Amino acid sequence: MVERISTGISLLDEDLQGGFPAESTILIIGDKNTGINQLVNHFIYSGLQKGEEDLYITLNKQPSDVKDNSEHYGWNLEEDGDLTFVDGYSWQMDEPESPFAVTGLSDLNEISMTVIDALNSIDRGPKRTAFNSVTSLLNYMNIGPATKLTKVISSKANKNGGVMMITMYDSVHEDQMKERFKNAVDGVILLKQKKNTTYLGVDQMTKTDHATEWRKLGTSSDKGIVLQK
Amino acid sequence: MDKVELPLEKLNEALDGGIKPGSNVLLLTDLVVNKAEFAGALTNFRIENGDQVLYYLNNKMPEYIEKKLDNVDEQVEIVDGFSATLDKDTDAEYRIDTNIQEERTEYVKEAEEKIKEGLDGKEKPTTVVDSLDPFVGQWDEIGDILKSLKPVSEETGSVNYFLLPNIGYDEEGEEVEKMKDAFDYVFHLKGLERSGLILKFIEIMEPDVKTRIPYDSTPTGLAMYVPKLLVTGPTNSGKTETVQTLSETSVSADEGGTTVALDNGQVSMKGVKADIFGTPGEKRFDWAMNFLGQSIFGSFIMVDSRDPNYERAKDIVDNLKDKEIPLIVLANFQNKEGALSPEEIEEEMGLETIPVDAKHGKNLEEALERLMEKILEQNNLNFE
Repeated sequence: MVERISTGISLLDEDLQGGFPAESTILIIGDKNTGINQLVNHFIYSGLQKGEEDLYITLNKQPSDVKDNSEHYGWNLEEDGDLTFVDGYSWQMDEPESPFAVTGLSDLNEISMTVIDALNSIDRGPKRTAFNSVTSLLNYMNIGPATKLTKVISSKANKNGGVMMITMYDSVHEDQMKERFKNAVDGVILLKQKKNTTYLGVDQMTKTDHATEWRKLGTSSDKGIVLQK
Repeated sequence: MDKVELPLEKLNEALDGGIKPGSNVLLLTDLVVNKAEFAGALTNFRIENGDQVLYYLNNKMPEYIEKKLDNVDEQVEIVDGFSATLDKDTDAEYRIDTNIQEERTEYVKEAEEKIKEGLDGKEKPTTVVDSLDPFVGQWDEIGDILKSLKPVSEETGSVNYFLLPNIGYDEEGEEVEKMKDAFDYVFHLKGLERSGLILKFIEIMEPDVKTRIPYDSTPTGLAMYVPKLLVTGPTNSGKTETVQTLSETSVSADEGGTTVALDNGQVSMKGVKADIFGTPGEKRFDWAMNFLGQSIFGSFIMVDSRDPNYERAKDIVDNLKDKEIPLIVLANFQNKEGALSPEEIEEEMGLETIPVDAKHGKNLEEALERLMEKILEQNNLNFE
């Protein structure tokens, strides 16, 4: 029986027959206003609530901004559990906000080694890892190296039964690039917007059967993430 | 023209004195190895030797590199290929004004021109191209850059080091052949990772001299170094003596001659340094071996050739087998009467066996050399 990691959203867990299969890398494709950041932040928060030690690789915001944005939805990332950040953003302006910080997003070796150091600092390895977002990485490197880097990181991050969630902004990339990246992961979740409503659909998922219906996704500061049939 | 020396004697030996002036050297680097750190150590060694250095970088602001290099004001000039991407100012000697993300062809042309300008008039300089990350897989672009720099490199005798991340090239594959064709020298900087510890070593791919050298960076250059080796085996087989004989300095904790904690020392042999650990032989200390075993790169199993205690020795081997590390049996006390021959012990243990006399240091260096060889023959443990 495949071990599962809860998505943090009960209907999505149901659709996936219990959650993401352990040792999977999940790609979330959606645009900024679809709740993509909230989805990944909520995934991490639900792990922390269980007392997990998790990892957040942030390339498009400073760690303090990630925490503030989560706080807005009532998800305190500093309560319970233990979250380690890899700061892949502050190099652009300020002092780094984590001991695990990079000096740019072009040096594959530096990024890989910084993340590995952060992973090694977590005793049993993380159950959940957020990689937000690969779009930032693709500003500085080609799809081939970016795919290789995320594979190296996920193989290490998921080693002890973990799940890594990678985000990708939909309209920024050409279809061909998205397809290449989709082929390199175990599962894909799509977020689409139609007439001011966001829909979530499981596009592909290995190691499990899954529902194929589109679900309505809502985010609000009082209810967090709400998924409806 | 004299060859240009590198900071490791073994590298120079393998390359018949060093690098030919005017050459292009590719440093293909595994993702668990810090290529900028290697380039910094190499550059500092050349600075120490009086070279003028031209350092091109496109992945971070110049101040990060300036902090790592010696005598920057006198001997280093920076070609800043990064600040324009962030729209920032720079105090580098040369700045590429084009943004690589917007005008790639223009950027490459400007980079070539600025490097040539920087090299002009220098005598036997060292040039570092940090890095080829934006050009991964773009062999035509890399070829054009090399072609463009070749005349000025040959004229000045500059040795040009190009840093390229290894994104999983097949060592027998077409792309590696392209690298060997395009560059005069190809060094693969490999990394074996075990529980956070990384054993780094250089494999020379071009020319085909089949040399592997373990290394670590020091502030002024490189040293040959292996992070962690283990000496284990049944009680009273001579583990502590082995650690002490091999080590320059060692620490041991014993009770009545039996080790009850870890022996630890630093070995220095033919220029190679290694940290070596000895575990107690009694079964109640297996936890120590399991704990250490997570991060060791190779192990000796010591046995007393007069009474090898095969049962315990095999128990220890079984414990280490799942760590997938090279193991060598050391048949100790070969100088004593009643010692079984190494062949007999090898047959029983099913592992390569080397006869030693630990107390007098006989054959220990050879054994260490053989273990190093076996360690460096392994492929990357965790990343493919």
